[in-house]
Formats: sequence, structure tokens, C-alpha cells
Amino acid sequence: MFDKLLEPGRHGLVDGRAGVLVRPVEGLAIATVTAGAKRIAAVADTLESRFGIKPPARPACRERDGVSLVGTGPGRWLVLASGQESAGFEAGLCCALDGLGAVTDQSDALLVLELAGPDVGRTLAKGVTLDLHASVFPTGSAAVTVVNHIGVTLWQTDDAPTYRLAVPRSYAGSFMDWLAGSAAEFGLETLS
Amino acid sequence: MRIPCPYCGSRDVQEFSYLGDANLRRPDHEAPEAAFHDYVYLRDNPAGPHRELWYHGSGCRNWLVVTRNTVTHDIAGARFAKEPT
Amino acid sequence: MSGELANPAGVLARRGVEQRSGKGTAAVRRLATGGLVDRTRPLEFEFDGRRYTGLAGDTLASALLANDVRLVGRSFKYHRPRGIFSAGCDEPNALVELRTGARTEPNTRATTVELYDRLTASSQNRWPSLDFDVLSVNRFAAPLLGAGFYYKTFMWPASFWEKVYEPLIRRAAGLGRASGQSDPDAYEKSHAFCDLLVIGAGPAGLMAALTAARAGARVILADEGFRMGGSLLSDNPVIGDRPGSDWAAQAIAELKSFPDVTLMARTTVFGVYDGGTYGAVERVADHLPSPPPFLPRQRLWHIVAKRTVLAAGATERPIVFGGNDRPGVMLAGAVRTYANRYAVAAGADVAVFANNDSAWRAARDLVRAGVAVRTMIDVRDTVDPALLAPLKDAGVRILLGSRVVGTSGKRLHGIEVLTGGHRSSIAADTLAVSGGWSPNVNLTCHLGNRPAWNEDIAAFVPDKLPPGMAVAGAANGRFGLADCFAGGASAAVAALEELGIAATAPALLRAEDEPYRIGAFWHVAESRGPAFVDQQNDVTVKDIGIAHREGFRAVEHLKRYTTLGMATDQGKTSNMIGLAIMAELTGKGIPQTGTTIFRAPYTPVTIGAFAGHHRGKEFRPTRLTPTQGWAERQGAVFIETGAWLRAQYYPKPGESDWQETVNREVRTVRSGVGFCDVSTLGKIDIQGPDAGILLDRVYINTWSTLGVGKARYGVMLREDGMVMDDGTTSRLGPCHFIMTTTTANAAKVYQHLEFCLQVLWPELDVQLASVSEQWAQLSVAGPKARETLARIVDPGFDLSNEAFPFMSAAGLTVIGGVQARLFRISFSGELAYEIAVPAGQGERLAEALMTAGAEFGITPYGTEALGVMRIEKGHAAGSELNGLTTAQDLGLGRMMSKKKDFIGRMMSQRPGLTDPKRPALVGLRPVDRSARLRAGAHFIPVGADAIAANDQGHMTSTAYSPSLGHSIGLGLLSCGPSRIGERVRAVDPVRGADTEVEICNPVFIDPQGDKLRV
Repeated sequence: MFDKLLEPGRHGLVDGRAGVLVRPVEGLAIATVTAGAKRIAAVADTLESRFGIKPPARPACRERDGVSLVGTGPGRWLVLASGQESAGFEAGLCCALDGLGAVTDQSDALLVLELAGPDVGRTLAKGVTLDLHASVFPTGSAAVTVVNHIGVTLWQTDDAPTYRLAVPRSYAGSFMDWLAGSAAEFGLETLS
Repeated sequence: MRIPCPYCGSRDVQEFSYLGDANLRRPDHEAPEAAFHDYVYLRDNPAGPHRELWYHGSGCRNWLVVTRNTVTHDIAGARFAKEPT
Repeated sequence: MSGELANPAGVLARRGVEQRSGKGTAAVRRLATGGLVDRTRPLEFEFDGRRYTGLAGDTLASALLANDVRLVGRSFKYHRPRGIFSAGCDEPNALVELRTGARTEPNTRATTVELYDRLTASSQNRWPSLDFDVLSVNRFAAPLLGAGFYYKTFMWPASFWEKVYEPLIRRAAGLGRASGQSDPDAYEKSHAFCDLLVIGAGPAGLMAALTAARAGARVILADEGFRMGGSLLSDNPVIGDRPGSDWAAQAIAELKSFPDVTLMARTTVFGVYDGGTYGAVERVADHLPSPPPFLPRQRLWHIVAKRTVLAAGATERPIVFGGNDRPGVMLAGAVRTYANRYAVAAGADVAVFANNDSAWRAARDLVRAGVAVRTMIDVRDTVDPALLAPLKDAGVRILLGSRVVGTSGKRLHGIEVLTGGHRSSIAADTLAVSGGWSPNVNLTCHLGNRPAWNEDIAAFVPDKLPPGMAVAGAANGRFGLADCFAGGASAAVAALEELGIAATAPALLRAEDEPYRIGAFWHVAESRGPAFVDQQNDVTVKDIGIAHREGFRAVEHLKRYTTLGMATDQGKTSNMIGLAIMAELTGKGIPQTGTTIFRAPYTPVTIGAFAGHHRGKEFRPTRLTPTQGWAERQGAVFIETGAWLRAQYYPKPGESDWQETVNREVRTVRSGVGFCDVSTLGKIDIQGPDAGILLDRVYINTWSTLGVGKARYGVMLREDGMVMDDGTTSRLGPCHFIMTTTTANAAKVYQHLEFCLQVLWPELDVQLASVSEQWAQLSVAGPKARETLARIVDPGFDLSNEAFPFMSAAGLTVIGGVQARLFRISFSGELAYEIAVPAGQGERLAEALMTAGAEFGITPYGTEALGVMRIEKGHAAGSELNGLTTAQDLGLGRMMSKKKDFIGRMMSQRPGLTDPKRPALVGLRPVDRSARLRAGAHFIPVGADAIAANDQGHMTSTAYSPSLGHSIGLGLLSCGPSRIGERVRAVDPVRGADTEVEICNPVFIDPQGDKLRV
């Protein structure tokens, strides 16, 4: 899907090192987990025992052994697992959380992109209406927000900084158009 | 304008959509038509502090009760609508 | 008083004015030394077709003045010749058309345009040439064109307005012209956050930024100019023992060393919004002939600041007198700026006219710089002896208690001065005027505040401030340099303290802190000739008198009646004087008269900057369906439906037009099989023990009794009783439903359900998730649908009518293990299924269906055929679900449960909504079957006049039905369902149609629904 959106290689400014690097994160099983109002603690405990990660109670991302839990709302998480088959992953979660909360497969709904490079902050600032300064949005922070009128979930995975963005599938083309335009002045390198 | 979402933190108003007066209560289904008429159509229009429903549709998708001064746009606070007052 | 100098040119020569000569490129007014221009970098430019040379660091205005170009434009209304008046964004006159071709930018201020090599500009509002302008005859008609002229004159006849008056006025008035071509450059938006936003990089702003930066705060310093420093550059003060410009450069270098300090030159903060939000525009490439590759021309900034220090300085205002618009009459501070910063002598023979001390310092600086100042005129009878001395020493003639009453020359060559009842003529090619300084309070007032009158400086100063804002320096009415430094530092310290950041004010700098005294004086009553208050809109003192006489005395009325302050400069140099004159006429006093409301933007912002990235095909994001790529390969024609791009129809070679293709697609579905991507429908996953209760409350029909593995059609109302949306919802498990919504209402319905769960009934245990993006959903329809599907469904799933009847739903796998959901529902009226697979499998599913159905002649079909078939089946869609229809209007009234409450139940029972006379859904077909029906036509009884009183409803949807061989329509007709068999006329005055139609059942095909259930 990604290769159709933007040709691999260099876009925008071609001189020097690319200011922004973008890479699709493929092979992810993705699901939303939503706890019933009175069972948030039970769902959190179940997720913790299953993945060894304490689900964040605020907009944040916690990762362990290829599984990430991103807080997207009170009692609501986006779960991303690399190298897992999506239907099986969802079914397993459903079983574990049966009667506690809802599990919904979103593996095909979201395109996850990894963005890095020295100018990634200046590029994201052209669309993200959040303060991404290290003092406000350090590694492990997450947000559900809007970029270029497209709803995205965004989280920071390291201090480089590197960000991951989950973009709705139908909007992926428009998102990449925005990214290519916004990163053009710094040079955008598309990695596969 | 910025709205302090209790979950997401301070966010730009463009992430939210506005509904209106948060003090309205949907009448019981046995209430007379007049009660529904008032609920659907009658609104106070106060100059000053006002409790309003806002939906954080581009964020955590929670409905919020925001206390906003309609004269100064000063926002005194926001809480989840589903939480009892 | 000293005598006049006999030979000004001699002075120039002696003081060293460069006298370059050549082919019209002599920079005759450039001073030999000084200034902040780079004499090693000459820049060629062109104005009105003539070539000149300027220097790097010039503005277009300073370069024009250096070349002794004084006439730069014609005025708005009277086409009077006008010259450069100011040295900044307050410029009312020197508006030029910059660049050529598609990049032509009208109404740019020559005083803020940074000179670049090969800049091209031309004057505006003149024909055939700037020097000889035909419409300058308007000037002689000036007595007729006064305030309210248009309102009074062009009253009647009404038809004349569009045909005669408006074109005439538009040709005569107005300023620059747009290129009429598409803008070739890019614009973008960006967001920034900081602890402290400092607006203006003059002495107060630089000091505020330095104080905050040293404390470790996140700082943004924005300045509209291309070189930071503000008055440190134009007034050239001494700080310690160094020029002010050196100190500024050092401060900027230090600021650049902090990682959390952002310096934004060429950036105007134009608006203040709620919650510490500011709008700013950065002119990224306006100082270049064209933007470098990949850079935008301008960038619109959305800045969120915890605290702000406004250090925007002050704007000088003139004194108004007869003939004050003559090219050569300039603001005194501007003449000073041209000398100090640009090393340009604004004229060869300068007179100064003032009511305050700052103009005396301007005159002193001019003398020091070598500009010939010959006369100093002040309305005050006495001034500080310290001001007198340097001018007396330079031999300047000083006229106290005097005023300028008139001017002469096309370009100024003389002024008439009134001293104690005696008039005298004085030669001058430049008159530097100062009526005092007005703090730039604009941004303090954007949230509805009004400034306060300060008698001491005869100016409005900031009063109530936007939350988080402090004001420092001249913007706060503190004009002394030491005051600016101290004010900037203390404002920053106080702001940071509120944020819990400890900061200390830097040691006080040794700076000249010269007193500022003013004798308030607004206009010369004894003037000879028109005295212009607002030079950009040609509003005179007399016009204000007319407004007063005719009762337009409130400032907001004054503004609108005379257009005072309504030009692109927003009255920066004129509003104060206008209201002072009105105060004088009413006798009310200035504080009581008050100011007009200040609004964003502070200076004009191009529409392109506001649009940013959102133009052309990126006007808004486009959503693509999961089969987009496949459909492209099939040669589909696409159509925008809301944010979605959908396949409209799939032409085959040899088909001559869309109608032929759509007819073929419909016939194939009705006789064989076809499929269509319906992924755009909203899909909401509803889980939890109370899911059935929620559905009972949001839909008009009952849901809690729906069996697992079953689907049902539902209609939801708004609380006022009107239909909100419809769709099919299926029960996948005891506590698990999947709802579909219309494409258009997907987000709205999701929000509505969250409202129900979070606001109305928080006790319900239900969880929602949008799965619209997760599933590719294809509708497979036609008598051969089951046989086609049988070839892609994995073994073990029984598709037979008995095992999987109409309105069934199930999970299964298809095409070899792909998770899928199958729904036996139909929009076309045929035997049909909707099959959903994960979106990434959408194209694979489409390919599999093509193969599986090849034997039956399967065709993909688009939104057109989908629409035709739903009209043939009488299903309501967007045109019928228009927010004005009830369930009963759409023939769905019987679905409404009487056993339960649901949203909209009570209000839908109101007599007005149950009245049988309401327009309700019917089918329509033309009596003459060859006639074509049009949506939007109104129903009029046969034989009645086609007038509103006889209107009985309208045609909502129409299509050519290939199944029936004629045009069909759906419509909302008064008493419709009881009039089946009658005839009415479908009258379409817009397209000139009047067609007799038969009222019929809206279900044109298979009204018993037999085909659905086979």
C-alpha cells in the first residue's frame, strides 16, 4: 500500500542529508481495547498480565517485546503487536477480555508510519497543533489529534526524536501529500 | 481558543465541536410534550459563566462539560460529561 | 532666527552627498557615510519601467528616495499625486504593484518592501502615466465627491447601480489590480509554542527576550522588519559608547545562541486570539524575486504563548494642514529613519513642522547626517532650550508658535507658514511633520479591550490587556530609551515569575533618556486647500465636518460614513486625528469620543497564507476506498462524494457516454450479477451488555429482540422528530452489533451515539469503535449473486436460501482463509449480499469476484448505477434524508415502535409532523414517457398557475430507468400516498421545463420484494 503512496527514495530538497526520514511500520496487528466504565482496572490488569506492560492511564505509549499500548482515551487503548497475525491476535485478546471490555481489530484501518530526522519537529509543526518540545512531549508521550484535517494517533518512541503516527487508511494518500509538501524544504527520504 | 481536556490536556478549539447548554436534562419518557418542547428548543443565553457541552471528536472522543465565560471566553475548567457532578 | 542658507546644494556638496550621474540611475540623495546599508552590494531595480540602483539593506522606498523619485502613486478617489509618507507599515500613499505576471502583488507598501536585485515595481491607480493621469480631473470634482457622496448620489434608479454606477466607480476608484492568474507560489501553516512571546525587536523587545532567554525560558521573538532592532536602527542612539545598532546586533547574536529561543524576523504578529493564541505571518521569500525551491512564499504561524510582552513601538502621526498630501510632505520620524538607517537624504531642502520634542531630535539627527534642514516650525510658543541649541548652531531658522497652512508645487517646492497672524512663504522640497506618537495599542485591543487616554503624551495607551500580555516600551507610552530597556526587562521578569521561572533584569544600560513633551495639536484650522486626514482613502477635514453636520458623530459612524481608516493601512496615521477633530466639533473631548474597535489583522495578510497547503486538489483531504487502485486499473471514472473519491461508473470500450455505461451496469445487475464498493458507509462496532438497549433508544424500531446472525433496517431521528440517518445494523453476538450509517453521516452518527452513552445514559454499559476504515465492503447483487459468491466462500459455509435467508449476517472466511463478514441485505432490490473483508484485502476480493462471476458476465458498478437502482426501488437517500423529513414523510411511519421510548418519539407526534397534508414520498413518471424528469422541479396541480401558492412539493431524485425504459423520479408531494394514479405537473422554471407526471408507488421494481428473498 505504502509504495503506491510515495515512491521510495528522495523527495523535495536533494542536497545534503535528508531532514526527514519516513518508514512504514508493517506487519502490525492492531486493535482498540475499550473497557466498560466500571471495569477499567480489571481490563488494565488483564492487559498487564498478558503483555507485561502497565497500560497508561493518560495519553502515553508503553512498549515491551514488540507490543505497544497507547492510551487514546480514559479506559481506551490502541494495542499494536509486531509480527502477529491480526485475526488471531484479536481473537486472543477478545478471549482474555471477554465480559470486561470490547476488542476491535483495526489492523487494516491504520497505516503506521515512523518519522525521524533532524527536521522532523519542524515538519510536524506544520500540521500538528500540539507542543512537541521535549519538556512537554518527551519519549513515551502520545496524543490523539489532527494533522491537516486528518485524525491521527501520534507517539514518540525515542529521544532522537522518533515518532510513530497511525493514519486512517483512506486518508493515507492525502497524509503523504501533506508530509511530502511539508518536508520538501528539508528533504524527505522514504525508506522501505 | 484552547480547551483543557481532562484526558488529552490543553488542545486547540478546532479539535472540538460545540453542542450547547450542559444543564439541560432529557425529560422522562412519560413527561408531557411541553417538557420535550422546552428541552429541544428553549435555551438560556447567559452573559458570563456558562456550562457547555463540547465533544473532543478529534481527540479522546469524550463529551466534556466546559465552564466558559461567554463574555471573555475565559475557561474556568472542563470535566468529563459522563462523570456525575 | 538665523537667516536662510543661500545655497543648499553647496551644503550637500560640503556634507558629502554622493552625486552619481548616468543614464537615469543617479543615486543623488544617498549620503556618503553612515546608514545600515551595504555599499558593496548595489542592487538594480525597476520602477515604472525606469532602472535604478539601490543598496542591500534598502527598502524600495529608501531606494526610490535615494534616486530622488518622489511621485510614486495616485490617490484612491481624486487621483492626486502622492509620494512616500512614512518608513514603515503605516504607509498610506506609497502603495505599488510589485513584480510582474502571475506574481504581481498589488498594494504593497514600498516602505516595507525589502529591496532585492532586479526588483520590478510600478505605480498604481494612474492612466496613462503616473505623471499625467486623466482621471485626476476627479480632483476638480472634489467638492462633489465628499463624505456620503455615493450614498446620496447613486440612489436611483435601482437598475442603474449594476449597469452604470458600479462599473464607473470601479474604474475611477480603487487601488491596485490583481494579476487574474493563479498564484504560482506555495504557502503553508505552522504551529509554535513558547513560555514568552515577544512582539517587536526594538529596545524593549530585545531586552525582554534577553532577560527571558538568560533565565532558560522558551522564547519567540517576532519582528515585522527584515532587520531586528526597531528604533535602535532608526533613531541611532548611543548606548554606553557604541551605536544602538551595534548593541542590537550583539543582543541578537546572544539570543541566537540559546537553543530554546526562536528569532522570527519578517514576521508580523497580526492578531490576538483566546487562550494565549496569536496569529503571525512570516514572509519567508517576499524579499526574493521568487521563492527558492521547496520554500513557501509566506508561512502562517499559529503561536500559543503562556505569556506575551508586546513591544510593538509607536506610530508617528502627522499634523493635518492644507495641501498636506503633496509629495515631499513626510513624517519627521521617517525622514530621520531614511537618514540614519538608510543613509538617504529625503530632500535637498528640508523644513520640519511639529508639536513635540521628538521632531527636534529628528532635525538634530538630519543635521548631523548632513541633510539640509533649513526651517524648524513648532506650534508651541516655547520649547526646551536644549532642543534649540543644536539647530541654532547649524543655522536652522526656527519658527515657534507657527503653523503650516498650505503647500505648493506638484512635488513640494514651498510651504506657507502662519506666525502670529502673519503668513510667509518658505521654499522647501521636503516637509517633515510630526503631530506626536501613538503607542501601537492595536494588539492589546483584539479581545474587545479599549485603550485609555493619556493626556501627558496626548495619545491612547494600553489599558485592560488580554490575559497573559504585558506591554513595554513605546507601545506602553514610554518613549525614553532607558525606559524601554527597563520596561522590557521588568515585563519579562514579572511574566516568567508567574510561570515559576526565576529571572533577573540585566544591569541597566547607560542610554540617553530624552524627555518627550508635546503640545496636543491636530489640524490647522487656517488651512488653504484640502487638508487630508486619511490620505489612503482621501478623507479630508471637511468630510469629517460633513459627517458631524449630518449626525454621523459616533466614531464608528464617522468611520463608515467617511471611510476614515478603512483603507489597507487601517488608519494607522489618521484615525487618531479624525477622532480628535470630531471631538473638537462635538466639544466632547477625546476620551469621551473614544476609538473605533481594533481588529485583526494588524497589517493585511494575503489570502494565500490563510489557505496554506489547502488549495487545488489538496483543498481538503481526499479519502480513497480500499478498491481505488483496482478501480483505476479498470478505467473507472471517479466522482467526489463528500471527502471520498468513488468510482462513478466503469466505461467499456465502445460505450459512447456515461448513460450507456450506467444502463449496461444496471441491466447486468438486474439480469446477472454486479458488485460495487460500499466501504464508504459508516461502520460502528457496538459492544457491551446494554448494546441492544442503546439501539432501542436511538432507532425508532425495536432491536433488543433481534436474533444473533440477523440484520435489520433502522431509522434514527433527531430529538425534534426529524430523520437523522438510516442504515442496516446486524447482531454478530449477544453483546455485539455492527451498525452501518450513510456515508455522509458517519461521523455525525458516531458522535450522536457517544452523546447518548456519555451524556444521556452514562449508566449503559456499551463500548463503541469506528471500523469504517477497517473493512472493505462490497455489495454483490443480481440473480447470480449467490452462485458467484459460492465460488469465493471457503468450504463449509452454507449459502442456501434456507441456511442464510434474506437479512442474515455471519462471520466466515473467503478466498482461502480471509476473515470476512457476510450480510444478506439489498439496496438494489435484487438478491444481494454485502461482503466485508479487512481493507487490505479489498482489491483481492474485487479480483476474486471478477473471476468468480466471469461466467455470469459480472460487472463492477459505480455510484451512478447504485443511485439508479435505489431510485427504482424507492429507497430514501441524501436528497430525501434532508433534515426536513419525518419517518412518516418517507413512508416509514409504521416502523415506529409504540412500546418504547426512543429519541425523537415525542416530538415526532406533534400535529404539524403527523399532518397528512405534509409532503410525503411518492414515485413519479412522465405521462409522455420520452420526457426527462429533473430533480428540483416543483409540483403544481394540472391547470393551476405555477406560483408559490400552488406549490405542493418537489422532485427530490430522478434517474433514467433502463429497466423501465423511461425517466422516473421520487418526490415529496402533499398528501402524496393517497394520490397515487393522479397527475400533477413538475415545473422547473430554472431549466424551463413543465412536465405532466403520474403519481405512483415509489417502488418501481418488484414492489412485493420477491427478488430479494429467492
